[in-house]
Amino acid sequence: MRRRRFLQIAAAGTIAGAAAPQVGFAGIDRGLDQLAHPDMLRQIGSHRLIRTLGDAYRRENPDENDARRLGRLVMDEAGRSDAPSVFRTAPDEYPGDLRSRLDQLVRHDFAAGRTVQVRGWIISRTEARQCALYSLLYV
Amino acid sequence: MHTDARGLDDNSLIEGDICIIGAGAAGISMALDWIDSGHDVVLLEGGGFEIEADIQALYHGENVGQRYYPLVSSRLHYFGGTTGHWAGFCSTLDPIDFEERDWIPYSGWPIRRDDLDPFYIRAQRLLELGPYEYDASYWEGRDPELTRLPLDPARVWTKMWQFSPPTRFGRRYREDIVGAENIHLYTYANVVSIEANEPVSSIDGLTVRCLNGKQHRVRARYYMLACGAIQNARLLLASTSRAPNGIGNDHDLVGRFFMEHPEVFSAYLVLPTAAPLKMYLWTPLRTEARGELAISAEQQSTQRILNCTTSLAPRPETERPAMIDWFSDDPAAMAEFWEDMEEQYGSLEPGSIETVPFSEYTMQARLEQSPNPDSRVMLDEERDALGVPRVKLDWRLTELDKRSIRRTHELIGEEVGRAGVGRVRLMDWLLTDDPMWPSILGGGWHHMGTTRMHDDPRQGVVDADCKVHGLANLFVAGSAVFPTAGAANPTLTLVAMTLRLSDHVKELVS
Repeated sequence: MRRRRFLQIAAAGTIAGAAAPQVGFAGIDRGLDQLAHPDMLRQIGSHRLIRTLGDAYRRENPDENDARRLGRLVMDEAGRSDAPSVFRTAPDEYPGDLRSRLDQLVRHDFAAGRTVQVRGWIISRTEARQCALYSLLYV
Repeated sequence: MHTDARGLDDNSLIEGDICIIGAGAAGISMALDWIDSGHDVVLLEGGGFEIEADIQALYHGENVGQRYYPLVSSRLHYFGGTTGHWAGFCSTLDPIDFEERDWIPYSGWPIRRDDLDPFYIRAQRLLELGPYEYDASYWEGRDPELTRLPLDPARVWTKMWQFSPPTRFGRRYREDIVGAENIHLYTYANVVSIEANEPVSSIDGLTVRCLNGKQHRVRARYYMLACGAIQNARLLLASTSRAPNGIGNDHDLVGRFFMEHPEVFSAYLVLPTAAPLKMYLWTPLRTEARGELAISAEQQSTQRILNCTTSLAPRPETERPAMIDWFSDDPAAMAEFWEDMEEQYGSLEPGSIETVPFSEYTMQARLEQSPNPDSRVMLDEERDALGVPRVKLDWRLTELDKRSIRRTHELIGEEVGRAGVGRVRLMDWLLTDDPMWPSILGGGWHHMGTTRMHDDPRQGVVDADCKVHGLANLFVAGSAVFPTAGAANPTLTLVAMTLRLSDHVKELVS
């Protein structure tokens, strides 16, 4: 399952930093996938770190141990009345903008003290949920 | 002038206008200030001009509390004192360090930070530092490679340190002291007792002993105790001929409130791209000034934490052992270490520094220890070769200490995240709420607080002029008088305080 999933993702080019997905799969998954790549953590660590933090966060927050719920929480935190649904079928319209908005949200989390500590890492609540989402999508 | 006390006739009388007990940073600073003053100054040093094992052995003591460095080697017992192995770190205390803070019991000085500014300027010269500039913007203007992290200074700011060469007071000022006609330096003159008059309202004299068995008497109008916080307390507690609990100890305060700067690896700063953080790096004997990340006074108040800074160092591939794990009980070892360093770096052009970009930095906290009356220097039953009771150090920390270190790094982590600089990861030992400290916890060899200042004799040993309460002519010089420690290394402040005391005593003598 892991290898099949990886190939889908690689083909779709949804790993953060790559081009917009060329091959679509389930709209739900693709939308969620766009939320599942915390940019700073991706830069400073590896996908293993993201997955590790995600696993740990879900253990500590069992009520958020669901991909759709995590996606909704991330978007709800954005507080945007026109927030695109994670269920939209053409998420490629917003990848760059979404990534920028998520980055702003993460910084806003830090400014507002909305942080969590996961395995000693001081990260934004949004980041933690992104990690959790990643750990669910990339099992 | 210099006299080896061992060569005096037995039971000699040594007299002067003022007597300074101890020739370390405080004692020598004061003596220098009295050169050509027209007054006779007796400067007593228990050791000689080199570290000697039998003299150093007088400093043996026992650590009975939190793990600490060997007492025999964390202080040096010779002319120049512990400047013989210090690293040269100099910074000022912050204004908040002098304030009474309702979340920190026993906080507050009887003086303000700006009372010390004129003396800080004078201290800079003695410590061979640069201009009296501790604002990061000044250093950024001098070197474009020095750049602060883009953090909000209302939350996390960059506190600056300057580096003394380091000034080895024994080497640097020996000629000045020995060549001064009105300064009478007596080496190998260990004070073993401070004698008060019958009502214990003033000091009559001192008893000095040498290891060769000779004993002498010292008399002066005014006496300055300048042996360091541990030895100062020891001498006061051991002087019981007229005061059963020790000189200046009517309220059981002498020796209490011993403070160090807990220094401990606490977290990691991880950057998305490797960068040379030259502003925050220190290369021994090379760096002129560098910054440490500090928590603003406003945040300290809001968070109800102690003052704390964290320094950055590139994270090595193999974790460095903590200093407390390799610090030797051989007193000469650190002095020799620095001599080797000076030889190694001495050929390089001053001011040049290598910086390599790193993506991971170790964060080491330096904490203002919470004043704690149970953290204390006491006398042991065992006596040294001169018959003076040895000391026991019971260094104790509190819940507030650990919580402050943790909160400091959490705040830095939040600010680093907000600024998009990177991420902070706390070390495992900080993730628990228990009161335990890791074995790597050390200190800076900063001994403070054992004869703390307070206007009320029930709350302090000395008053705002560093005079021992109840005694007309006994003063304490140095960091023993600090009521709180701040997060800055104490040397610059203890020299400044000593110069302030010196001015005061000059007024008295006049």
